[in-house]
Amino acid sequence: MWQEAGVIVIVSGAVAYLARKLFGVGPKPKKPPSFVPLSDLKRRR
Amino acid sequence: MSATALAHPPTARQALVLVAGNPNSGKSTVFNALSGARTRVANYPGVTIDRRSATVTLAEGLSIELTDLPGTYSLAARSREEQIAVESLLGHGPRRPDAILIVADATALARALYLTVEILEIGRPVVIALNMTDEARRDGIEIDIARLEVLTGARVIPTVANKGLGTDALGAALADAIRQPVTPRPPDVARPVALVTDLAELEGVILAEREMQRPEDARVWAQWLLLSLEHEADDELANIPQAIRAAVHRVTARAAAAGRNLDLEIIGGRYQLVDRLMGEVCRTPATPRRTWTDRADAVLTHKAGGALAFAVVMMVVFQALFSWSEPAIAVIEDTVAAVQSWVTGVMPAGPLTSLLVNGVIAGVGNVVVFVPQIGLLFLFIGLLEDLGYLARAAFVIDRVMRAVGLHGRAFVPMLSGFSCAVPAVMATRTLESRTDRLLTMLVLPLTSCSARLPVYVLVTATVFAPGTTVGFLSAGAVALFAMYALSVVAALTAAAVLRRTVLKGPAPTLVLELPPYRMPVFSVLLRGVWQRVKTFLVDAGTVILALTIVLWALLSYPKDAAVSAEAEQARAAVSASGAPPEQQEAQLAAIDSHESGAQLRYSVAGRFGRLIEPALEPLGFDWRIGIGILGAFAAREVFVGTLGVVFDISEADETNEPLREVLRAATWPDGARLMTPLAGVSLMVFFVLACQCMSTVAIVRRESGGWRWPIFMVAYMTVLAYTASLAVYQVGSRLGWGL
Amino acid sequence: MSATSTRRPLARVPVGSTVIVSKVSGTRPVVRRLLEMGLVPGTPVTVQREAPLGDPVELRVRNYALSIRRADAQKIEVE
Repeated sequence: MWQEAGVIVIVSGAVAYLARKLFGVGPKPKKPPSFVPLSDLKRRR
Repeated sequence: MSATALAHPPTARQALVLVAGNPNSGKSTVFNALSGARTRVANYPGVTIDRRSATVTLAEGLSIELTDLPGTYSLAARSREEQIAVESLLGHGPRRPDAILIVADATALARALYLTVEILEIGRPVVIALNMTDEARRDGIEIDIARLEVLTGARVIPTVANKGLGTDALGAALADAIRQPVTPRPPDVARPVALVTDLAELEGVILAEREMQRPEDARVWAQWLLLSLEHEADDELANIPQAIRAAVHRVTARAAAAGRNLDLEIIGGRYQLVDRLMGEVCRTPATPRRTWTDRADAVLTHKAGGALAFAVVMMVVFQALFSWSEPAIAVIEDTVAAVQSWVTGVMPAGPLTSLLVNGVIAGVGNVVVFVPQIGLLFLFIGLLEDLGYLARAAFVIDRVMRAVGLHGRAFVPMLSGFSCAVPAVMATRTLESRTDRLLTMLVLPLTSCSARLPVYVLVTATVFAPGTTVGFLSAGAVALFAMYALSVVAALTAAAVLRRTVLKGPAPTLVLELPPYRMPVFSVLLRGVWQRVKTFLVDAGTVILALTIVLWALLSYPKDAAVSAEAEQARAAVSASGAPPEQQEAQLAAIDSHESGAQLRYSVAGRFGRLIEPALEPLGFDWRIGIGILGAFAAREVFVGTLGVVFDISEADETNEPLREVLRAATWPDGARLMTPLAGVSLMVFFVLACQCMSTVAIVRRESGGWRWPIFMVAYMTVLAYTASLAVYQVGSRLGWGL
Repeated sequence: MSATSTRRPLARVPVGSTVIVSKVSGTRPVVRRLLEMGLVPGTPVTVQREAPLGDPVELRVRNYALSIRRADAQKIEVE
């Protein structure tokens, strides 16, 4: 039975991975230190 | 400059140095020389250009983050990618650059000075690496470095980066620039009064909308906006406040009504300064010396010689891609097979073992098998590009490519598509414009890659009896040629159509620099190749692996317990029969393949195949071919193997006689022959036009930055393939051909 | 080496002659690019050669080589 369990784990993992890539959900890869783009500056109020 | 490893963690606030420069100025070489092997490649969020950065120790206690920007001729941005690069330079807040390093080609100093003038206006300390001074000297160009330093307010360090000269002095100059920052005087650019008024108006709007660290920054941004924002069409630039856009439009419209061209005023003013600087600082011989480059170009871009040279170079690249990677691919395939046998031997039989062998290991194999071709292709591209020949090749072939709306530089990717689309799609990075890149990527899969060959071979061998000829050529050869011709026509036509519809945009502009021929620096070259391979493995490879696993599941489940039980019984009977061992083995193998076939029919994929059969019939395919087509999505070569399983043949490949026999004998339920010549042609046409390679989908996703385009690509190609096969089969049937 | 002072398109300038740019027209992206690469009015430019198929053309500007399409060269006035 453990073989079937292994299969389920691996296949669900693959499906989840693809779903994440497709829909962009899930933990994002760590963002490298980024610049503050000029266009995102604080608005003047 | 010591390239020592950091002895202690970087200080809390590390200085940031950005590296800018024209393309072909040796910027990569300078960057590598400063950063050693410690380069990280990351992505700017939202776009697909690479961002290279490294932590460099310049001196005791001073470590900086060195970030490489894409090579540009100016800061004006036409694409989101260029915008990001520029915004890094202009960026405010905690991550404003502490210094900017400009790499300038001493033999093309005037143009480098244009970018320099733009960057000096930003008001951050600037260090100029005057690169390729050896070539300048050889060409008789003299540059007064001291005077240039005085006039620009920037340190100027002569370097010959590809020989490693000058990098220490450069590191020291950067350290000085950071420790004792000197803000350069704003360059003395001539501006017509009307322009000054326009800029003041725009600056007012900018300051009202955004906080600037210094008021001068508003002018920098104002000029950048005037040059970068589109007026007639939409541009790709993001996050520009509406009020600012409106102000830019107002100013531009007013200028146009008065007959003024703002681009000309801004750029022309800068070049006036550049020419003045050049006059003071640079002396070129009255009659330019005839350089090696001129001599070479006399042949390589000559009317006849150029075309010939082009053909020869392309043939070499083509041949290399087709055959030089074979040994490595064979090694990889053998290793995969060996690992698979080992796992099968070591683990008890069962679904997990099957998954590991046919899903995971096969999946990893599917990914790694691309590495030789990717490596080879990028080695060639890098070599041709660094040599300087790639620009000449684009020059020669541009006329032909432009007829269908493709860029001259799209030639190499298109050519390599005949070997394999995956590295070819990656190679579209040599195209500057995003639209050109997308267009090329989307039509690339139509070039008949080498994975389609096994299918063609199998089909032609099956449907054409050996010895059938058309004229004096064998029918098989004619069919093969026809398929390749079809793929070329389809690719060019698709480009022309997409260019006019979905990817409408300005015609690709070719304003190309033809750099002097130079010896490539192999360390830079190899490092570049490795970056590409790594990117592929991490970004596309994981997706391919996941897809292989999912496909395995669809082809293996659900299982019919009755079929397994029957097979077990049959196996037991064979073992108990007492027949000689070879006979027993053969019988067991037959039972195995029969069982696989039956289970395949029962699986999700199998049922799907039966489901869509009514749609496939008009093309001449039945559900068994349908399953083959579905399996081929993993990789086209899998088509043959899948067909083998469906038709109960074990270890099928395209030269396998039993498979061909079985295919020839296969019939529809009503007894009519399945694989008629017409059906064969229809199948081949389908393969030419359909996008059946999940690896291609994965790499297009990566290179285009999302799923939208790969999905579109699969959709349009499927429609195209279906329609064409349909037309071929239906029209052919009516005309009574090949039945 | 051009002795005439008449305005004509760069595309009509024979290979080997040097002329001065007087006006650059065309679509905005092309014009901007040409200007940035140094083809501003007042700049001397030499027609170096043509591609094997006649198009594009190679120019020499400020000591470097540039290639542009004939159609774009048609819209550059020189004298």
